[in-house]
Formats: sequence, structure tokens, C-alpha cells
Amino acid sequence: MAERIMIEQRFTAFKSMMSFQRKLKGVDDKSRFISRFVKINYAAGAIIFAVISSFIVFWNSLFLFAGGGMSTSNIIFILFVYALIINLYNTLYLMGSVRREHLIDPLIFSAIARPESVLMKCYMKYYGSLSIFISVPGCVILAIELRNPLIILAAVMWTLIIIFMSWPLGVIFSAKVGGGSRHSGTLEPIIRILSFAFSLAGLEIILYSPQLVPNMLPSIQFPLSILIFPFNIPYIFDAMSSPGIIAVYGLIVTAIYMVVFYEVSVRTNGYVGRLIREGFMQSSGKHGGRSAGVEPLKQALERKDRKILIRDSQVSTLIAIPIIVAVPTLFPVFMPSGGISGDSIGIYYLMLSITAICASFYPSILLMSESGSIALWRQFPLDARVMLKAKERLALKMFAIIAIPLTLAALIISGSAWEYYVTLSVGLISGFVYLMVRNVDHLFSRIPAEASRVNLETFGGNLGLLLLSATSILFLVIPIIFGSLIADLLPFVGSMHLMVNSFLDSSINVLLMIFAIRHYGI
Amino acid sequence: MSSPDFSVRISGVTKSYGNVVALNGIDLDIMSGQIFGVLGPNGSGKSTMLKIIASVLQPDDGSVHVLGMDCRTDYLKIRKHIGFVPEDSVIYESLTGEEFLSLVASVYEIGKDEFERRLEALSAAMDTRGIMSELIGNLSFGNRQKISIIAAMIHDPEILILDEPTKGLDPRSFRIFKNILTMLAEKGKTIIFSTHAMEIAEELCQSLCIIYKGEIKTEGSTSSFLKGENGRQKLEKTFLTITGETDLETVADNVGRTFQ
Repeated sequence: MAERIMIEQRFTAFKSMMSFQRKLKGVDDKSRFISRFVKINYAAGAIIFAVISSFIVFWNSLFLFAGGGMSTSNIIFILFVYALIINLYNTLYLMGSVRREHLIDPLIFSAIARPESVLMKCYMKYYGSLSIFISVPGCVILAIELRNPLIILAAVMWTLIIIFMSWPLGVIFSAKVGGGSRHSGTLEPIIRILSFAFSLAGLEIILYSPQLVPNMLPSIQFPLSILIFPFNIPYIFDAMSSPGIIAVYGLIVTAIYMVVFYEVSVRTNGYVGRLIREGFMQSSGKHGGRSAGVEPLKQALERKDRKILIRDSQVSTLIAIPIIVAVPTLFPVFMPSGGISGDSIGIYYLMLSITAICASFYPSILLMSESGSIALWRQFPLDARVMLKAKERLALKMFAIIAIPLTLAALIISGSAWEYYVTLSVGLISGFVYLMVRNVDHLFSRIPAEASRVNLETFGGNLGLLLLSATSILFLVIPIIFGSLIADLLPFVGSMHLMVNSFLDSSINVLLMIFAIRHYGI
Repeated sequence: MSSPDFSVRISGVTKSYGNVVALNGIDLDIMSGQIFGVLGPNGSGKSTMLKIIASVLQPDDGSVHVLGMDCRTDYLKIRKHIGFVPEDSVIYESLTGEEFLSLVASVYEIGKDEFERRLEALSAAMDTRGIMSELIGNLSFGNRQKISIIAAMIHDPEILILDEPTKGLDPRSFRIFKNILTMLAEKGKTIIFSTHAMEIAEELCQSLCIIYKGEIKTEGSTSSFLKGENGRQKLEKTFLTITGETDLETVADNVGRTFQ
């Protein structure tokens, strides 16, 4: 039944594609044919995660072995926090698509005693298990580098803990924050989403600065140091580096946590069951506000998207991800080590780049939020691109809301180095506009002319978005490399290297933005 | 070029989904200002034909002219003059009925006063005033259907295309809806709708066609189907003869024996 949920998820996206229907026609076992997509998607996800995991380890190993203040436990901690974030996102996505596509409905009316357990199995089998490919390959590399196989055993156990922990957390977020119901007011969901965003932002800060945790809790002594979850991760993995009795304690504690979280995870099913029975897939019964009356078309379309964004908390949660990424942006600026160095500007740029890449998918998320209403687009006497442009304008405004305060704060704190931030901000905003317009145009072209529904699978699932993200990163990185090369080649640059590099990089992005606006329109 | 007497002229239209032929060389003319019924069993091609007339779908072959405009080139113009309620009507669940309808008004560039006047009249008629500030996702199927019907009518279209419109309507709304359709036809609007209910077709339609396996098997004025003493039975018999389901008692007997 878990596989059935995944098959249905994909089928709802593919069914209106002519090419898919043509392929399906010549196939005897149609269900198996679709399930092949599920397996391919899983395999591709596993490969990508393994590559990312290995990259994180190699990258951080450079600092580790160069004495950059990193330790093995810091690197492992990054992997687990990354796995946790991915799992939370996946749980939210699964619960969201189950609600939106009514995937669980047939089971509710069937003779299956506990349909809720199907969702957990689906999560564990198709989403959670992917975490193995996030944490284990990296830990294997570390175990080889450090010649310590215990790290692998601990990594497997901690991955299971993360998997078991993410399910209840994700379900609760999905119901309380992600909104099993469609709230029509504005304040309540915003507060919930913000609290969710700040919780994850905390994790993000840890992710980007893993040394913080051990440094912030220096007074914790053994045995508390290996007991307090989740801050015991660095201590336990440090203990693994020198096998002894503490390492054994660490493994025992890990095993206990694994059993506890497994139990919590299984007990969450009761809560999922209540959500289902109480109409999680239905509605909240709340009222909406009065309409603003008849507005000009552009405003009306934008208002519609804004209302869906606020009321459909699954969409709001996806939209909040760049905000979560953006929060640590200010971290290097506020760091007490002080001074504006190439490092802090670099980190500011990196974080805001990630924000720009994530936010460049805003119109695509809004496009996915259309779900079955995409069919309505063909009834209106409007070119579908008019609707698309409304989403781009809203996305631009939302990105501005994130980027402007961050840049202003960075400018105020940076003092004399303001020119770097101004140049970089202009470049990044231009890069964002270019990526946004290009990405949404690319994804929009993948929607079949006769589509009756859009969801993530319409755009190739997580794999499709990962590949598009990768090309987006390339588009941001290539101008930086180009700018750096040119700055290196110019003999008179000297101490102005960073400024020249930023200027060239930003200029390329501005040119790309002008090209995108002229080519695709906005 | 179409004759002005015809709202819709369909000639040699085919439409396939993959290898499944939904419409196979259909020819049909629908006169302006009449209520036209489309009858046919499930999967016969009714919805596909209505979607093509509404310019929601493009035919693979053949030509379709709506109000004299070609559906291949002038589909956006055609949509301005059409109100369409599809069978599987999906509307924005996160909007309230009123918000959705004001969005529709913006799309069709209806003035604020005119919109409020029409909304008031249609809401009163369809008994939806009490649900307009509810999120559409919270409404029952019948109430969503009412919102869809109002959305299709709010811009005062020349042609109203309704795919199984009475599904989910309560008896009061059903009766009022029928009256509205009759009134609109009297004002010169063209109504095209599909239904499985013979009695609705008989009562409302001036003309109708029976479509089966993607082909129009018969068409004509409703009165021509009702001639004789048992008019209604004649229409039903014609339908069953065309769709090859004449031996219904035997089918029921087989099922009965299975569940003894």
C-alpha cells in the first residue's frame, strides 16, 4: 500500500501527458510501469545524496586536516542536521501531497484497519531511507580516513534516529504549521510558520557553524555530555575517535535513543489516524474575509496567489525555506570576531546566493499550488503566461522582503565596507531575477497542454528540481569564477581584487537579467 | 464562414488521447438561442466534445466555429463569450466563493457595480448568499457546483456550456436552475449541456443528440424523439438501442444470481 501512495502521487501528475498515455497504452502491467518511475526517482535521489554527502565531507576535511577549527564530530553533525532538514521537508511534502491529492481517501473507506500506518511505511521506505545515503557515505569516508570502523556503526544508528525523529516532527509541523486545514485568517498561520521557520533557522545556524554547539556548551561534563540529545552527537562521535569505555557508553546511549524514537515514531501513527478521521484531508470550517471587489486583472491575479500562499500553509512552508536559509546570512556579520573580511563577505554572498536560488523557485511553488485549478487556466480568456507573470511579480516582492532588510542590516553593521555589499546585492538581485524567470519558464514548458493537475512530479519530482537547482548554482558560480579570473589577470588590481571581482560578477548578472527580461518578459 | 443562425458549427472533428479515440469525425450544428442536450453513456465523448466547443481543448482534425470564430486561432476571443462548467469542476479551494467570483469578474473585466448586481441576483437564485464567505474547500460538492455555475454565468456569456450541471444540486436549486436556463434561452443565449437524465433532456431541450463511442448516432429536435403515445419511453428506447443495452433485465438477473 505504501508503494500505491507513491504510484498515485506520480500518476496524478503524469496522467494528462500525451507522451505518457502513449507509452502506457503499449504496456500490459501499467501499475508496474509507473512504479518504475518511483524506483528510478529513488535511485537518482540516493546517488545525488551520496555525492552531496561525500562532497560535504571532502570540503570540510580540507579544514579538518588544515587545522581550520573543524573536528570529525563537526562534519558528522553537519551531515545529520542536513539529513534532518531533508527528512522534515520530505515529510511535509508527503503529507501535503496526500492532503492535496486525496491519496489516503480510498484507504479510509476500505477495510484496512489502520490506514495511517501506510503513510509511515511510505515515508520510511521511500523518503526516510534516503537519509542513509546522506550520512553513511560521508561517514564511511571519514572512517577510512581515520581508520575507525566504529564511526560507520554509530552513523547507521544515528541515521535511524534521525529518520524515526523526523516522522513525528514532520507530522506535527504538517498538522499544526503546515496546516492540515486551510485557515483563512492571516495572523495565526503566519505566527505558526514563523515559529517553524525560527526552529529550523536554529538548526541552520548549527549547520553553517557546527563548532558553535561544543563551544556553547563547554561546561557539560561526562556523563551528561553523551546523554543530552541532540547535543551529544559531537561528544559521541569524538568518543568514537578513541575507542574505549566512553565509546561503548556512547553506543549504548545511541541504541537507547534509537529505540525511544522508534517507539515515538510508531505512536505518531495514532495521531495521524486521528488527523485522518477528524478530517485532516478536509477543511477547518473557518470563514474567509470579504472580497476586495473587482480589481484590475494584474492585481486580482496577484491577490489570488497571495491569499492561496497565506491560507495554504503547505505552500507557505515551502515559501519559508529561503527565509530559513537567509537567517544565518547575518551570522558572519554579527560574529564577535569582528571586522569585515573576505570570509564574512564570502559567507554573506554564499548564504544570500542560496536564498536567491531557493526563492527563484517561488513562482514554481505558486504554480504547483494551482494543483487541479490549472484546468481553470484554459477556461479563462487569458494567455496562461499572464497568470505566470503575476506569480513572478509576487515572487519578486517576496524576495525583496527577504533580501532588502538583510542587506540593509549588513550595510549598517559593515561600516566602511558597504560598497562590497551594495555591489554584491545588486548582482544577487539581478541573478535572482534571471534565475526566477528562466526556471519558471523551463518548468512551465513541462506542463502538458491538457494537464488537469500540476504537482512536483509534473516537473520531474525532487530529482527534476535538484537538477534545476544544480544548473541554477552553475549560473551563479560561473560569473564569480569569470570575475575572479579577470581580476587575477589584471595587473593593476592589487588590493582591489575583491571589489573588481564583485563588480565583474554583478555586471554579468545584470546583463543576464536584462537578457531574461527581454527574452521571457516579466 | 459560419451562418449567423448557428452558434456552433462542428465539421469532421476528431480527437484522440493517445490511442484512445474520443471523437471520430463529428459533424454538428447548434442553433443560436436554443437549449441543446448532449446525451450518451459514460466515456462516449460528451465531455471531450463540450471542452472542444468551449475552446478548452483543441481538436486533432476538423474545424469548429463558435459564434463565427475559429477555435484554433480565436480561442481566447471565443472564451470571452462562453461560460463553461466542466464535469470535474476544480476551483480554488483556498479562496472564498466571493473572492473566486470577483477574480472571475476581473478576468472578464466586469465593472464593480455590474458584478455586485449580478452576484446578488445569482446568489439569491442559487441560495448561496450564506456560503459566499466560506472557503470553497469547506463547501459541499453541491455548493461548489453552485459556485461553478455562478462563475460560468457571471459575465453574461453568449453560450453556456454545462457538463452534467445538475449533479449535486438540491431539488430547489435544480428547479430554479432549470428556470434560469429557460429564461436565458428566451433571451437568445445558447445553452449546451450534457446529462444522463432523460427527463431533464425532454423537459428543457429544444434539440438533442446522442453520442456513442465518439460518434453522433442521432440528432434532431426533442419533439421528434417524443412523437407517439409514450414519448419518454421512446427517447429512452432510442438511447438504449443505440448504446446496445436493450437486454437490461438479463444483466440484472445475472447479478442477482451471483449474489444469491
